[in-house]
Amino acid sequence: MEQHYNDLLKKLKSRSDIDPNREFSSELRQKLIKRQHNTTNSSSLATILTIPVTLSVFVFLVMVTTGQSIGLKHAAQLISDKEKYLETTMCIVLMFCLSLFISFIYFKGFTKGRLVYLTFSLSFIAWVGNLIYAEHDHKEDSIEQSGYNETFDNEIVNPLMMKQDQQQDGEEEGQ
Amino acid sequence: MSKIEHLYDKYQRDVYHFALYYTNSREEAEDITQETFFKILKQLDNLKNEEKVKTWILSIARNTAVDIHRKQKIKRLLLEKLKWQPNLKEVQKPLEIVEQHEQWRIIQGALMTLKAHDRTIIICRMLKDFTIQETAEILGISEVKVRVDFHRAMTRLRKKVGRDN
Repeated sequence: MEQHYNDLLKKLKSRSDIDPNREFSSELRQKLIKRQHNTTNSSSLATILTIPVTLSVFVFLVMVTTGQSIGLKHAAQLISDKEKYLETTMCIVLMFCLSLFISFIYFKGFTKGRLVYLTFSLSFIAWVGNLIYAEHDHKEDSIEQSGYNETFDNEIVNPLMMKQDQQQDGEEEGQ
Repeated sequence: MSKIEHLYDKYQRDVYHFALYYTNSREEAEDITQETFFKILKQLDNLKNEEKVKTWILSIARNTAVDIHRKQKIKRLLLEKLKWQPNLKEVQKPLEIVEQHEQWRIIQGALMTLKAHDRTIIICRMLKDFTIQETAEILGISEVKVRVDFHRAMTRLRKKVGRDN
């Protein structure tokens, strides 16, 4: 029985249409040669976009980690030297993690890695752009004023003020 | 001669045979061979281990075969569903009757009823005589799993052939 199956498989191995069509083979060979020349000469859109984005990201990293030219504004701005040192350290650590993440996505070669990388880079650029905009278009903080409350003035403040005035008058009279 | 030409000359038959056994259709086998070599050309820079080039190519061929065969199957099913009139079987010509009795068609027919994984293992081990290690690399599974799955697949194939006979 085993022999019978083996014979059948041998017959399948040498089935009558086992060889590929010669015309098809030579055509495919020509197509491959043509395609090879096309692919070596042209670069894809992803490459065109990825290279400048990568460069700008790394330039930004260098700027932030060395020069601190783009500082954080307002609430995030720290005053004392110790805090400033902490800020720089945190910045370096964050940027190092960020660059590791970018390299990981880029070199790991996920199926949609380039797309993920591009999306990430674009959002990163948007963040950097926002920081630069904040740097140049620096607006002074508006002084916060408490809202006027009529009830507060009439019912709470006024009686208290009156009481205080009466006390002051009494004291003056006593003297 | 460029690298792709060298690879094409060396492995074109292997890829075509695999695709033909997998789909039992010359047209689909040609499509799969073409698509496989286009993918190889695209990913040629990613090839690091030159020793595993054969299993790398065959694994691309296998993935391509699975994709194309699935698409063709859906297409065929949709076309059948879209037909208004019931599909009447055409009267067989004498030559076709003779061809159907060719013995390789019996086992190829049985092979086509198996699941994709079982079919791939039988093609690799029995029809292309790849080693267990090569089959494991093509399928991306362990060698132990290849042994176990191969025996199971052969049992299923024998059952199918026995039933058909």
